[in-house]
Amino acid sequence: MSAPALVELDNVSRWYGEVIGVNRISVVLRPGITGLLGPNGAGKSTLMNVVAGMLSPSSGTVRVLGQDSFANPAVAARLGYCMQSDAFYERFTGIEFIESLLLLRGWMRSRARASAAHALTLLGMAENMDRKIQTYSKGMRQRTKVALAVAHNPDILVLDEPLNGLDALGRHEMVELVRRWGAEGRNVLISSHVLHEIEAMTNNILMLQGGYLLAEGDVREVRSALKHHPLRVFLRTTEPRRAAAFLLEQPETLSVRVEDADHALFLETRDYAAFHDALQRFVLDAGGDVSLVTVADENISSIFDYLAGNRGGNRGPG
Amino acid sequence: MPVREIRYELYAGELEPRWVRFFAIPRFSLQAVWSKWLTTALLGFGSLQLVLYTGYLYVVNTPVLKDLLGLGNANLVLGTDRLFQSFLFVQSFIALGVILGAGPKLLSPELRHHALSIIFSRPISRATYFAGKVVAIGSLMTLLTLVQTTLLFVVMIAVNPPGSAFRAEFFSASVPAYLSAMVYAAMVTALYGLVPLAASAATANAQRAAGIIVAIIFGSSAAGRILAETLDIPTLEALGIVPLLRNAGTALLRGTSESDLSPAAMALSFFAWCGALGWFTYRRLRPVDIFEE
Amino acid sequence: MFVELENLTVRYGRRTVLEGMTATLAGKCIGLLGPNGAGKSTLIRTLLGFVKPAAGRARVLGIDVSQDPLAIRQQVGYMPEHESYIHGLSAVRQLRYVGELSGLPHRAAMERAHEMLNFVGLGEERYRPVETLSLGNQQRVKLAQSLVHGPRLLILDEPTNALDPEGRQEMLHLVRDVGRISGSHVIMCSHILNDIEFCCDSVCVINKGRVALNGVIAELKKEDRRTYDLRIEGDSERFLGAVAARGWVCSGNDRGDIRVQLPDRDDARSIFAVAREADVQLRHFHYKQDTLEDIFMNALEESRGSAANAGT
Repeated sequence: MSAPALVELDNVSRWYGEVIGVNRISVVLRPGITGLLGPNGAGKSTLMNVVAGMLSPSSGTVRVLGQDSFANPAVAARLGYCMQSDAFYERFTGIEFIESLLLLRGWMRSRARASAAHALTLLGMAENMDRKIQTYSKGMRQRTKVALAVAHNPDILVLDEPLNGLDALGRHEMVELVRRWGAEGRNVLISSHVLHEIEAMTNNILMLQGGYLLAEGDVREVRSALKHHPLRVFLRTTEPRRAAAFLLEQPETLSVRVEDADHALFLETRDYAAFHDALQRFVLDAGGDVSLVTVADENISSIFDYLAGNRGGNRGPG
Repeated sequence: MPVREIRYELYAGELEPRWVRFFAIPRFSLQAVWSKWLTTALLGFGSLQLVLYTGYLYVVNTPVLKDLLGLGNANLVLGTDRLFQSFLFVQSFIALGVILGAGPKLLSPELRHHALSIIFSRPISRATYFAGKVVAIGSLMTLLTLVQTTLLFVVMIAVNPPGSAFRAEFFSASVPAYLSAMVYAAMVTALYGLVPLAASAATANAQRAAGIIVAIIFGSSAAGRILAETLDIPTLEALGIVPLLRNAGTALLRGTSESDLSPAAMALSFFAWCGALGWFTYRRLRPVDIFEE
Repeated sequence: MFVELENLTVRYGRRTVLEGMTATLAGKCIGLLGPNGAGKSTLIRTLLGFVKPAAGRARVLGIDVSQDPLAIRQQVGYMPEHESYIHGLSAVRQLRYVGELSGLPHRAAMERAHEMLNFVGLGEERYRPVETLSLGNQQRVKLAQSLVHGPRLLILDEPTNALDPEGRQEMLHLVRDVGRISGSHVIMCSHILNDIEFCCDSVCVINKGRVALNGVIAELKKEDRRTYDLRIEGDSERFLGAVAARGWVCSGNDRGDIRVQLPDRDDARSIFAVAREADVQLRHFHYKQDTLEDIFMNALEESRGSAANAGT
């Protein structure tokens, strides 16, 4: 099934009159989970609608499983979409709702019922699926929407803010579930405003702003492409001042800040390899004691800040 | 202090006593409903009658002017009670216009985006807030009714000459007529104050609230009449707000025998309306997230 | 110690929502956590003096909730979860209004309205009707109104709800500033554990109307200095080979993180030695420490267990 790229966008634009949705997006989704990020109004929902075949692009082509996705039943049969907005038949129970939509796909009743029950159970709705949707809480609605998206066992999942309205436990379960779908080889495109949660699911991101694609790929690749931002490293050691002196000798080290009370050290370097060399010498040859080393801005939040804040994203000091 | 840090600080100053806080409610409510239009309505239309009546009273009490206008010896003097009755009857229609314009903004804008949550998280009780809103609309209505009635009475005292019937029967007829008029005015104030309050508490949409005001006032009147006629119990007409007020005015100022409705039925209907409208408004003043049954 | 609960029980009709809660909330900023339906909103209502306890006591800033709710609300600020503002009124006007309702004199209400709007970073938009502002700015106004009367305790219900990443970040910084710099305590409800971790020093987990856990986050986090989480750059095969040669137990996950368990004879320094041997860089290196998520999940697990025991 993975012979053609699962999702491929070529120069895709979508305009609403003079309002920009997305513009000139060209990307091939990598297998597994892809996190879609961006501020409000960046075009995330538009992009998801276009991929899911709910909207036709104004120009460019969207190919899902090698086919044009717009209003294409063959694509719809293998793609599940959880929209951000609620659209239910309030008088149906959760299971009736999903079953009826599977029947509309032309499924046999028994199979539809079994699949609906299976999906709802998977989403932790086993006890509530026979209640009417109008009595559901925000979290239950969210679970029902996601269950609907996965009920027909699709290869491709498009999930727009699926964690919205869930409590801490629900969020944890949903993150685990999405990771499992990714590990099973499904292609998942997921958005969330909570960047830590994207980070818990994947390293692979797409970042949109103002309708344009700003970054795409693995977090570390994206980070290393932001060359104008020196890497920020955080370390904890019993002797921060001695470590600072040691590391400052490195010509690639741009700055060091010491916080004695926390036994902590913040450092900016242009070259991690050189920094690591010095650190290794500090620990192994000079008897330093280090309990924590981490690159503080090699994560989704920092990348988002650098790109969305446009604080130098592509503009360098020079 | 070379640098002032922008940060959150506790409040260390004085706090106002309860009654000063209370008056913040009508003050801000009136500020919110205030507009050029309302000023015109209150000072223009609201005082129009007073100006006309002053002119009329001056003419009928000044023989020279009567001659000039060719009115001769015609006896144009109307009884004080009749004057008050027609004055307040017209005034209540002007009040209707004012509550249609200003009433919907009393509570609807606060319901629209759940503002009651931030209001009731203050050291203010539901009863206090309700009372504040009553004072807000009540003061508008009072300007149109009680204040105008009193001004009219003052004009009467000033304009009527010493020998006139008004002066002659001052304590036996004029003052009682004024007091009756004040009771009538108070009834108009109460009903025409509580109707818009309840209507704007019923919906977050101000236009719909205006519709509800009309529906309550005229709908109740139509319903009262239909019920009275189909069941053949004339007293049921007292259910309607317009006939209730009209007949109450007649009964108070012209004697109960002139009125179509019995005083008891009217009193019952009046207090039932006030109670129901007030209770409904009070019940609606509950932010969803902090009160639960 | 700004909130004391003693065997607090709250019922709506026959339904018991909070059952025998006993806890002392201390610290500058406390995160209130719990699944939906655990009783968080009921607890907030009780603390604001809107719900009378059926049994037990709750004291907020030393004031008993069933005795003087208005005195409590004089000292407490509340930021509701959903949107909350008066349609058609400017931000300044709303703040003046609620300020005067809280008893500030006219002039002081005006000043504090502007000071709080400065604090939350709202510019000229403060003179526009609130409904015309962006979601992020509406949220700032909502925070500012809860601060205008200078409360000593601030209760925030899902302050980052519906905000985009930038808006969330700004809101979290504001909340943290209130908690850290000023003399006000903060109770923050959130479903997002990272937000709690960012803003709060303490945490209180409630489940099924009971307190499941209450304490200082840093003290609740268990450490394991023999287990290290690593992320490396370079030839990972070679590194894993070197690790195996030392006989360390090692596991990895799909996202390239490696966890090694050191035997007694080795220490953290040995990891650097192995990295040098294998010629790889350590991009991340830290001993295993519980996250707030671990603490939360454990607390729920334990409270479930104790509830089951109590039932039998």
